[in-house]
Amino acid sequence: MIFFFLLFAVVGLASAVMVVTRKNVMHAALFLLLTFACVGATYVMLRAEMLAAVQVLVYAGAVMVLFLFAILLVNMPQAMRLQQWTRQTTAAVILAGLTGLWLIIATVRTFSGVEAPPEAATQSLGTPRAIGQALFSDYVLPFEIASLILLAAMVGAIVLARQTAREEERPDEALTELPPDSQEDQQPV
Amino acid sequence: MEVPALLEDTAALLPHVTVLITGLVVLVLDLFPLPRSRWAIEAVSLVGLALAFACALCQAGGEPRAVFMGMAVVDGLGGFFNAAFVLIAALTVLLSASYVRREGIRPGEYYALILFATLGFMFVGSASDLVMMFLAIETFSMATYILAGLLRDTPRSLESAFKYFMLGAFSSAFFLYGIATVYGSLGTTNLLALSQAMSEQGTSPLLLMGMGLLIVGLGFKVAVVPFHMWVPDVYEGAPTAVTAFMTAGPKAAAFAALLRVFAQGFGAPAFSAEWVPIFAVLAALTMLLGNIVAIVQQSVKRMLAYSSIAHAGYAFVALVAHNAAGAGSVLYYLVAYAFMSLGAFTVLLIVARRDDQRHAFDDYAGLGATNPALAAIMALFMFALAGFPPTAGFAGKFYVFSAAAQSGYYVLAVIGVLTSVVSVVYYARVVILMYMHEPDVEAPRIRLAPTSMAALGVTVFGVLYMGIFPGGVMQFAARSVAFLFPG
Repeated sequence: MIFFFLLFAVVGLASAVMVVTRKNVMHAALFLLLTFACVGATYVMLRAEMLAAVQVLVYAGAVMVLFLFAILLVNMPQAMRLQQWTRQTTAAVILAGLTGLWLIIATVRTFSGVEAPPEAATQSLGTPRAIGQALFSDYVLPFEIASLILLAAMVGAIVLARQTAREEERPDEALTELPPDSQEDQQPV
Repeated sequence: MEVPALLEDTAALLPHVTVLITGLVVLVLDLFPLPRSRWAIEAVSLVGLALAFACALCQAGGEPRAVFMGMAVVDGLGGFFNAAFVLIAALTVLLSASYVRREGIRPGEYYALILFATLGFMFVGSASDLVMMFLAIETFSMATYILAGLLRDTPRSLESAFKYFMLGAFSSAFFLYGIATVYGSLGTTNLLALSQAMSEQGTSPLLLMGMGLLIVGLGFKVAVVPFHMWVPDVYEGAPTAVTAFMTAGPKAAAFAALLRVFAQGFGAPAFSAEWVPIFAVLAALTMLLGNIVAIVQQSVKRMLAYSSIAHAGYAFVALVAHNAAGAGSVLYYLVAYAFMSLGAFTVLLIVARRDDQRHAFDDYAGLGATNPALAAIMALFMFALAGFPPTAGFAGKFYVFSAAAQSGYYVLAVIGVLTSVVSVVYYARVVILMYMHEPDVEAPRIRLAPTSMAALGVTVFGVLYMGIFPGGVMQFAARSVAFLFPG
């Protein structure tokens, strides 16, 4: 068991690093797919089968397709010439490394010596039935709020993607009754 | 949940439901090309918000009551914040009415997004669970990302939306990781259960890490130094009416989240000792940087962006005080700042004229001669932001600094007073330009739309009323937070 965990963890992390370091967006996207798959495998080992299925369907499936479509629309030769590293790279790597180290030490120190819960206790949590029950009892309000976020995002996507963002007939200044040489700004603001 | 209990809990969230229904009606109204549909949309928004305001005020009194399995809570703090958020939204609708026409923004989506963002603020104020808090923050963030990019044809607006979205998503990740580690160390995400579990188990490295990550996540939303870098570009590039909304709404909502998570969840003395020193350093840095960098700005809009950073620093001082007076003065300060900022930005968007261009200091030269009333109002807001009596800005700072002194944070109070003096430099610059410089030759006389006049009237009234009679609002605020610090 521990062997498989280490395998998925190392492969997942390594491909995550590749995602952010590859210059070719297509390669980065494919490494991202590998990361998603490894995370899904970790969910299976945690006995969260439902979550693993959703991970594969939504992330490795739908989100990846969306990524690939977006890459189709990118001007690849131009994107390849973009500068990927800035002068702050070293400082950023050091800071991120220290933060990561701090997170790892805190996690290890808190959980060292903690016994894993018996397998029977965790078995019932990852089923679709358990998740559905949680969503429609304890988490019914957050569930509804999530639908509101999606609605706002949908409205936003349409607004931003529309051909002309502004209305065609802006109220024209010539339409007001004031003479054109008037000192007044015709449109009240 | 059983159906009767579900209905009862929904009824308890009546202000939220009212705003939600208003938002959906506005979205549907936009589909019918009625000749007067713009006015209909604005009128429906205002009526809905007025109803929600009344409901929220009614709720501000009662006993705290957990609803929806402890996900949300109806109490004084939530009631006060709901009323404040609805007021901010109503003022935004008023000040946007002529702006939306002038810039050719489609009204349906604009007002619907304002209302959805307001609903997000209200759920932040009422959340009593970290999961709920996260989703509520995402709701208003999503709506404001889009609002910032509404003028899609102008690069500045796009840049604003892009930067806001990238840093917003980044900060959400911090916040979420914080929730995960707090859950990992205490086994719950409910804020009330959290404080209980902490007093039983004590702190652990993981819990402290979680608190740190939550501070970073919310720090980005409040824009305290050093998490402020996005503010100037985002506020400057966004449509001016949206900037006005962003300085008042999301900022107040982030403070509501800080009060809920830190003053309520991590409020016990043994744990507040962990985060109060961090908050004190952030407050001092924010006041210093915000005020000093504001001096060198060339654009009034950008200057007000730095000013909003500085004001977040003042409100942060009240959080550091961590006593009843401090919590009350946070609420007072946020309402006072909302009036001042919304009012000042209303003048800004009027002076900016078509295409939202004229934001430089020089565009204000001689405004006192060409438009005396507008200049007088702008001068009032500048003095209020600087903290002169008899305005809300003075009363707010007075309450904040005396709360800090009560808890022994004299250094912070002194920094606050000194930086307020520094701030006079850049606020007075606007006033001097308006009254002591010759106007531009072709500077027109500006005719005000009735809605803009109403927005200016309400904000001027608010700034003066809260400055001359601060007792009323302050007592309301103190009553609303009394349960946080019993005894």
